[in-house]
Amino acid sequence: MLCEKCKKNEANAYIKTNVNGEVHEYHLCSQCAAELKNSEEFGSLFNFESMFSPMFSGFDMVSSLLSSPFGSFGAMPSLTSGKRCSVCGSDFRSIADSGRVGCPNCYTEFRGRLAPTIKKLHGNSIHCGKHSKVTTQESKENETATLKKQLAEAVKAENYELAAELRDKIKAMEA
Amino acid sequence: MSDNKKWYESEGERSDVVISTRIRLARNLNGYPFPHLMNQAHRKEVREKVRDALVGGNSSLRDSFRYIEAETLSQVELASLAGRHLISPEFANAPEGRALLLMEDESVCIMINEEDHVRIQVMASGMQLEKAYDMADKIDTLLDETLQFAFDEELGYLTACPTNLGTGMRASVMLHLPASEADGTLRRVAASLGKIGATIRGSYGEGSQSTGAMYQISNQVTLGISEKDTLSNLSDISNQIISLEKKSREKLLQSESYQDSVWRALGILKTARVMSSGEFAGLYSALRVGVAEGLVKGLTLGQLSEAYEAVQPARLMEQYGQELNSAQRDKKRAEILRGVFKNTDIA
Repeated sequence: MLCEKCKKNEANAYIKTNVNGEVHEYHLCSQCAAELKNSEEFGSLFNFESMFSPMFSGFDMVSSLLSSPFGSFGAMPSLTSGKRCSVCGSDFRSIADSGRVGCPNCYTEFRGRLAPTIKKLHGNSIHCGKHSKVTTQESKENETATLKKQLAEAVKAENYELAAELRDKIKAMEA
Repeated sequence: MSDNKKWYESEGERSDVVISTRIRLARNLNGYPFPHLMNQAHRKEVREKVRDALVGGNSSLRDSFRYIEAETLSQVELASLAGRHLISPEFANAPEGRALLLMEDESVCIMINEEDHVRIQVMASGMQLEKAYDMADKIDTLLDETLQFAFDEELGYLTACPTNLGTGMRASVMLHLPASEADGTLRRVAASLGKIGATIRGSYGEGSQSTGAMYQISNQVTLGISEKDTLSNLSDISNQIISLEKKSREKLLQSESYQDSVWRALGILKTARVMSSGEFAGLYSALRVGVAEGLVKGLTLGQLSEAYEAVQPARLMEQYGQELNSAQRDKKRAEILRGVFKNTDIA
């Protein structure tokens, strides 16, 4: 397929934008994609850097970025991540598509990937104000329980690198 | 619904400009998907848990609330509740598996399984941010005893939409701003509200146009600011807008043509035999200023608010039967209003 913009080079980047429900799809060559990345209009709207990083590092990867009316979910480097929330079964893709998080536990399981969106919406803020009855100790225990569950899953999937990482985290929390 | 006095029939502070105050807290239960992903079994479980936490066993509020499963309500009843802002249009459109806990005077309405598992809403007439929050806080604390709402030390209360993280609180005041709308003051102020963390919109919430110069001002930010500071900011912003409106009104009231429009509105309301809801919204706006600023006597702002609620389309259908078509409603509306304005006069 030829690049939709220059109509000369082979298209090797797929870009999907969803701005206030209006969906656009682009098939571009890396050169035109890079130009788009640098265009001020897009640059200010989306986090192009991280979106394009897989492509620039040589991977021919499908990328997508999504923005919903209540806030942009920014870049999604990969659509094929299989991780699902252990409580509600949501994956990050479905969260980004709907603009709604699956369940309270998703905030723990997808913490790192939700962080840019939360930062965009609220800045670097940390909650102040009323606290639920759930004490810090209890929420720590909950978090450890979730990590232990993830550890078991990682071992089952023979993902020992992740398992080691999780084991260290649990150790640190229990220390 | 019961005939007992409702919250909007009393007058709160600054009711010359402030119609009402509203506090909403979004809360969720751990271990369940958020409502948009819930199956019917989950929905029923959650609504029963919330019901039992508030009105079951030894709850101190057990006799204050009525528990209503939304699918048992007729379309007209749902529309009427939505018209009074007790439930959202979204809740009314898909009642299955949802429920509400309603206080008799309708000042507190808890929506179960709307966007979040629990949405505590407290309404008060006039400007009563602190009082309304205290009530919401009390109910929240009581529910939290049993339900232990989903909470994170850094992110605060966990909500279906990340925009509500933190306090989960949306505080709003509904303002009547005909004079600052007319002279352009409002447009200038509205543009700068975003910068100070507030939003302004028409009376039916997100994306709606204002009818009859009713505007809702709310806080925008929920994470990183405490409930107390949010309320005090909103109160400061509202007070500024109120004083601008009062200044604009002062000028406006000096104009003979404006006074004339108030009295004409009164004349029409006292005599009309047919009144559409659109025409009423315009006349109501003029009349409200007339009563608030002493151009009209024989009626209080509380009575005026009561009349406003009584002639809303869904309320008329609820009161006088669903078979009322639009033309019949317009006649009924005119008849009720003639009664309300019978003893009023120009001051």
